[in-house]
Amino acid sequence: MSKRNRLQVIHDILKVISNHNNSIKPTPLLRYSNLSSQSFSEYYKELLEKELIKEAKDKKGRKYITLTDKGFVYLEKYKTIIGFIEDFNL
Amino acid sequence: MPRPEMFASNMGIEILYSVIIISVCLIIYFSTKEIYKLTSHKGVKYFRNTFLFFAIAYSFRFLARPFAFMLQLFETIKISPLLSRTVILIVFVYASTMALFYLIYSILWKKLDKTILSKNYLLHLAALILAIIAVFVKPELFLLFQLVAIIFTSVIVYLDYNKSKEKKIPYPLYIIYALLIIFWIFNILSTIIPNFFRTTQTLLYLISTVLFLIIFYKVITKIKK
Repeated sequence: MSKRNRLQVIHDILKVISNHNNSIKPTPLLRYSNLSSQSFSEYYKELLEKELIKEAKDKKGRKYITLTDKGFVYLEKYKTIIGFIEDFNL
Repeated sequence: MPRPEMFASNMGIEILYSVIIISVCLIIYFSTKEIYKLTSHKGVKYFRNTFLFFAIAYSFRFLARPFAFMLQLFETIKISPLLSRTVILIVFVYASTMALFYLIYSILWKKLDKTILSKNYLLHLAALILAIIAVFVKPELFLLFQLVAIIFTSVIVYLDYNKSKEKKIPYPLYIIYALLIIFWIFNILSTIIPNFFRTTQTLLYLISTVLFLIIFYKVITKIKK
């Protein structure tokens, strides 16, 4: 299996959140994303900074991660993005 | 001194050509904004910047033309238009060099060191120095630089293509890029040295427009999918 590129990893993380009814705790997200803790932290920080995901807390104060509107747009446009980058060899 | 009707006809072609190219470049730039905002992909950034700088270069090229005509029409006003034309030419050559730099970057950025990529200001500085050399010292030096850059990029792209045929690299696109740069150089020559391609000017414009429209069509069809 070839190494996933950055855009693919971001897609996979967002897809995991989406597949869990747009609400997942950080630990299972780390497990499902198939990344090392360090890589996951870096991606997690990047996704928060880019406002593709956001953190929320339930009544008991537990942290959940959800997709933002921008995150949903990323998932929706992922194939177009990859097609564009491959076609122009960017 | 050109006849007024010839001046009007030439200006008409110039306006049409410039409006088409500037519009195409700006549409490419703005239509890829969302992809860049979502991904922050460096290749997309350099690709977009290429067309932004092409749009700037063509805008200043468009401004440089009337000055050349005006100088021939009204021989009495010389100092101020000459000064303005020099400034316009410097910005034009600077922007066109930046467009070329970004086009090369958009193809080669994965092979370049991160520290090189972070020193973007050096590109701007080099482009500005080249523009000053082209306008004040020797236009031939600038032309030589552009040719070396094209040959260098072509060799790298060809080697890269040979190595990864299975990846289905869109090879015809590189041919379009190469032609785009070649015709762009003709454009620069005809702007720095007015009447350089007087007889073949319309053909030059037509081929350049077709090349830009091919890229425009590819971008729009990809984005609309």
